[in-house]
Amino acid sequence: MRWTDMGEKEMIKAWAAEEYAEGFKEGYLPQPDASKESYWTDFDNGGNIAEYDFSSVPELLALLKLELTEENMEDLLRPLAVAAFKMRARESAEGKAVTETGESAGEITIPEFVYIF
Amino acid sequence: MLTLGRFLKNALALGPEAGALVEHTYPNLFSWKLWIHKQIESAIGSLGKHKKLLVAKHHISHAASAFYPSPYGKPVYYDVIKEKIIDIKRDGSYRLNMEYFDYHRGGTMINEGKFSELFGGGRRQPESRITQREMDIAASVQKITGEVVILLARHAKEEYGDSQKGSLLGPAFSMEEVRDYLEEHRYPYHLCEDKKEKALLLARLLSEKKIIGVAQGRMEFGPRSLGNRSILADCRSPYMQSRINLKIKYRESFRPFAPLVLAEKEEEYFDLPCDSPYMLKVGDVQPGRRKPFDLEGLLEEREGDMLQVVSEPRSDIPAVTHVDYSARIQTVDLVRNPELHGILSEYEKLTGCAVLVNTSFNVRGEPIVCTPKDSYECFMRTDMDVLMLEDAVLYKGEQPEFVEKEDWREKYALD
Repeated sequence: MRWTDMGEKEMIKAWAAEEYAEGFKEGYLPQPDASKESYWTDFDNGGNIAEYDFSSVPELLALLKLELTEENMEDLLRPLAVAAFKMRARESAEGKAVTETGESAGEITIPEFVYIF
Repeated sequence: MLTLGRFLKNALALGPEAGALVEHTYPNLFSWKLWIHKQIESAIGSLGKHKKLLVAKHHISHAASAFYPSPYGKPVYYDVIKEKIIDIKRDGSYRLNMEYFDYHRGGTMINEGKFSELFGGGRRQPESRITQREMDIAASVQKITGEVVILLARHAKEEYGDSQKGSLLGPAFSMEEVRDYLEEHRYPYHLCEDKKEKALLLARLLSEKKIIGVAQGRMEFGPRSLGNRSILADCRSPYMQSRINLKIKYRESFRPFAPLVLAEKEEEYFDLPCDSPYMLKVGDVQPGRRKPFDLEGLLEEREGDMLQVVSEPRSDIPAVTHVDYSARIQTVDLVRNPELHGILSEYEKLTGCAVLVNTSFNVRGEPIVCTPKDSYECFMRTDMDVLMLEDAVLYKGEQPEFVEKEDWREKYALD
């Protein structure tokens, strides 16, 4: 499935549907378990403070690759980086923040630079 | 990034049902949250001298504020919440039954249908009347939250022990760092040879009614100064409260101060039958120490002059006794803070009094001092008599004129 051919939201939905696995859900959102004595787990803080900065798609992509290391997210990262810049370009063109529902006023032209990576 | 990661994992956990989550979360995340660095730069004009934004990759705890009408309810839902919604282990760790929640789906916090079944009806609508049911739900949730917090605290104590690590977590400065600072600026000081000499000296100065700024050891982490970044003073003087307020804290003369007291002597002074090492508990001054105090009569007699009224002794430790004879107490024991205990013990030997005024080492509006520089500046901006920086003693009369480019009073708002 070629996610880059879809709108960004549809792309994420399609990815989630395609990669979904029941086992993942049980591990990520675990239910109470009477057989366990404790729910404590080890937490690796791994250098808690980091610089946060990006101004281009490649820079955001580099950040995403550092933070989202799961194998099944790899193909999603580049479209996500593009999606972030598209939303930003739309906001700048409108001259105001995009609403919570993502509505905008009419057609917006996305500048070419967003796609040059 | 953390939010984006969680969003994707939530979507993955929901799979084909991730639609609502995506619709709800996507706009805000991609148009605003990911761009927080630009938002901040735009709002404040720059990212500082180094033009960098540093973020904590994960916050360990949340700051939250909530109002619960719980004091008016009864915890009638306590059992059903424990049975259906939350599983709490002996060590305080817990898991929620996700069938009752929808936040991972990007919609509401709770699963409305399941909650409605459990609590005998739908949720209260905003601005509608608060009924007994809401108060009872609040009381029930509060009881469970309290239970979890106490179990977590007990577990932390079992794991790590308690030697006031709960509060003395901030930075400390070595004598070398203190000396470097003082000598760089040529501020005169005297060195105590050891802790005993320091304790004897401080006790004597305090007994002579000197007001002393103390910066020693690790700084307190939490709402109270507990002797490591404190201003200490004799509490027996009827004028000490107004003097410290007006000439050191630069605030209203009637604002009260808190006592620190030797833990083993606490009940001689206050009726609190337990320790209070973090200055979080309030007790009354023992009746035998109180003096009669007629507030209305005094106000009339002194023609409403609060300064005179505040100066009227209410006990034999007037600087720490409020108008209602209460005090917010810090007990000092040998285990948690041996150095402070030593100072207080020597003071008691000299004066017969085991109590001192303890107020935070700062002036109105500014944060509590941390570094030797902060401490010296606060010392020089106020009427403190002595500064103790680790084992170095500085006397006000020996210091050079302190000149600042800005008026610090304009830097900090009134508190």
